[in-house]
Amino acid sequence: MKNEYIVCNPEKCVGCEICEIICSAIKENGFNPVYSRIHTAHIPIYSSISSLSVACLHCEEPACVRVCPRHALTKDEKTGVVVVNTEFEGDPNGCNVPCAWCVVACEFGAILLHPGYKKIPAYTSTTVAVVCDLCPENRYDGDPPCVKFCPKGALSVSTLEKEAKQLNKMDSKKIFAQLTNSRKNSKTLFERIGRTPLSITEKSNKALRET
Amino acid sequence: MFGYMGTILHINLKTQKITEKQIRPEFCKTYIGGTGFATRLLYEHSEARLDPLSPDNPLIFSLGPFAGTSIAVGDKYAVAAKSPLTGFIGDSLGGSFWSRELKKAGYDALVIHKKAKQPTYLYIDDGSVQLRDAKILSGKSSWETEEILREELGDEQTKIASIGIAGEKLIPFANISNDMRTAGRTGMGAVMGSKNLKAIAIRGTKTIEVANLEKLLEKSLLLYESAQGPATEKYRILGTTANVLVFNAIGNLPTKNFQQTTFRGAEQISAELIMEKYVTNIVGCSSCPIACDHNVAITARPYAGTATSIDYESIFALGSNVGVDDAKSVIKAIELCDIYGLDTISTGVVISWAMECYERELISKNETEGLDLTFGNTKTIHKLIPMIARKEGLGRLLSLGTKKASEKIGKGSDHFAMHIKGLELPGYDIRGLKTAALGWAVAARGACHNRSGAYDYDIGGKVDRFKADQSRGKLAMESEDQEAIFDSLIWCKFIRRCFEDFHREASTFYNLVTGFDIKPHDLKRTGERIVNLKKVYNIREGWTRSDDHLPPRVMKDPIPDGFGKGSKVSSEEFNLMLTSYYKARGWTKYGLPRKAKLVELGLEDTVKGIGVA
Repeated sequence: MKNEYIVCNPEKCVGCEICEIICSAIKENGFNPVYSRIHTAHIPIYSSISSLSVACLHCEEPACVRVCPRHALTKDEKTGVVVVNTEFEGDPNGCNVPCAWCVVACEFGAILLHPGYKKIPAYTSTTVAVVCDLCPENRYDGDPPCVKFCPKGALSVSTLEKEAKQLNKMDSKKIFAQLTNSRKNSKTLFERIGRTPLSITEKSNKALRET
Repeated sequence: MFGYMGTILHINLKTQKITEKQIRPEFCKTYIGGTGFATRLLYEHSEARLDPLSPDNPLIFSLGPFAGTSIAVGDKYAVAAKSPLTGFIGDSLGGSFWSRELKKAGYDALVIHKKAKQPTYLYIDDGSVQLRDAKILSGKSSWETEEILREELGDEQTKIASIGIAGEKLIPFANISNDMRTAGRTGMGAVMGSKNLKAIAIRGTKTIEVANLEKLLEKSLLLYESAQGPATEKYRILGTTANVLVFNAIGNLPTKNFQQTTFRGAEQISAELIMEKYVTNIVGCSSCPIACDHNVAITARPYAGTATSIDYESIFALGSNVGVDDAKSVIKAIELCDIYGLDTISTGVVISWAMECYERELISKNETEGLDLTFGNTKTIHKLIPMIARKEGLGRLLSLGTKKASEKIGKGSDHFAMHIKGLELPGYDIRGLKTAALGWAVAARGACHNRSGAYDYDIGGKVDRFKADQSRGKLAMESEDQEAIFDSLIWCKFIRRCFEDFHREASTFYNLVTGFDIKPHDLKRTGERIVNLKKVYNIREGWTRSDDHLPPRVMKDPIPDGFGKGSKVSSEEFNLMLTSYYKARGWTKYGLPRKAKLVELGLEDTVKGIGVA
């Protein structure tokens, strides 16, 4: 299992949301960031707003897979990608009700409910959960479209091992200096331009801590 | 229709009647969108010679076909109304998420009529449009307003455009702010305030469809890559503030109310210094691969806790122009303008005008109520900005704008009132940029570096910037027409150097989005049409040839220092250029469009309103 996922470097990300636009174009044949599988969070960190795009991390032991009451979510054993089974007819393991348990369970707000993703005549609701599938069919020079289109090169396909190595290389002294330097005026800015991260992340965080 | 949502939303604040009107493809082809739509709608929905702050002056927000698509830097909106600052057409552009959200809500334009009885804000949630009570928002800044409304509406993703205190107090250079960006110039915030409209909150979930998605993505990718090249390097790394040192070196940095062109303290307010000391991060508007917006924060006393975003025009206006050589206090002044909702350029220039009056003893200490208006006095500047926004003390005079304030004071203070048509000059010294001088004198909204990019010829060295000749008329016209297309599509002008043949590439993008078959020369024609329509509007509002003027200082005081020493635009030179411009446009020597010209451009219906031969 490769356990690959899309990772965003917050130092490079400028919050332009081009990844959302591109994702929706590839997946929905139109521009609509609401239905994008990747989302940009604008997070106030100390003195400024930092932006960071988040797509499904394809966790090793995904909470969403565990909580799904219909067992519609599975982790693919070969690719390590979390897959939502939307094929319903004749298959009891299909996502076709907007229960949103997976949305609540995900700590990262990486799952979204998509109204009208697939029309199932027998049911009143057509909402299904959708997650990033790393676009195996729509690669640009081997990269998923969002990674390829990111103008700042902030996105990449990576694995946990690779990221851990990267983090070890970072200069901790420099980071500490930056943080302490800007912490002094963090409060006023927080109050003024403070935007909380995606509300869905907060909610799911809370929900998971309580359980 | 691809690329457009096909609907214009009309909102009557008095009767609370909300109507949707469909637009036809012909209308889209003729005016493209953005400024083109806004100008046309303004022309159609307003009567001649209105008071700009009366309820009858409509306020129009409009989008271009590129908003919300993958095309780089296409997420912008245009806002237009009759300007309270100039009395002519007022139009301004604002960037980022708000425009995309309006499009996703299903509208290409908003037309706001009449005036609400009490403070109101508008909430558009896809198809549902509500007028809601905004009493609690009174006196709040745009930033606070956004936060309060997001909480009230319970949706983090709501995008909000709003006015600050200056807009509520009808200051003629108040701005409209959204997502920490502003549509600053020509006082659109005051028009919004005069309608008792505090904010417009939008949430949209509709999909924007384009004609040829696959090809468009391919082209978009190329544009993203191109936007990472040297063409936009200045904006990406140091931001527009890089101009400070460059302009200082070439003698183009307006200093002390445009008296000098070099500033001794330029290094103290340079991008290099600010970058090292104060910039915390660099962000982009939505769909922008360039990202020029430099956020700054100050951690040291006395300005600890100050945070805003900076650009060259703000730094010049509240820095060198008022003689301040301390980056910290310039940033503080910019933050104050942002909090109170004032246009930084106009605010800076009106303050610098007052400082020169003080220097020349045209304003006495009695009139300033003890304020010391010496150039470079940062404390005074920080005090004056809130006073202007609240119309208190000396602020009452300055809040009129440079033109009206100088008329009120008299005593020859109009000699150094740096405005054209009432709009304050941006940060270029046009005594040494003669093509730009012409471009700005004729621009419909007044002195503006965004409606006429003629300075590119001067600074780029394509022409001798200290000479005036007959070729400048055509250059100014071409530049103005091209900017009109930029403003209508809407494309941010920072992408302009990425194109080799702008009209061809722009029409390709336009056709991919809309599925129309627009040829490059059609697009050129459309640019000309929009500029002519703006002119027609201005003529209807009482424009005469004397309104295409330059400030007396530009024509009489030669540059005293720097590279361009001794240069000025004499009235012979100016008349020569102006005549050549009118000639290139096919207008009469008095600057009036001929009937044949308007018919040729498809503006037959406007002929009657202005009575031209």
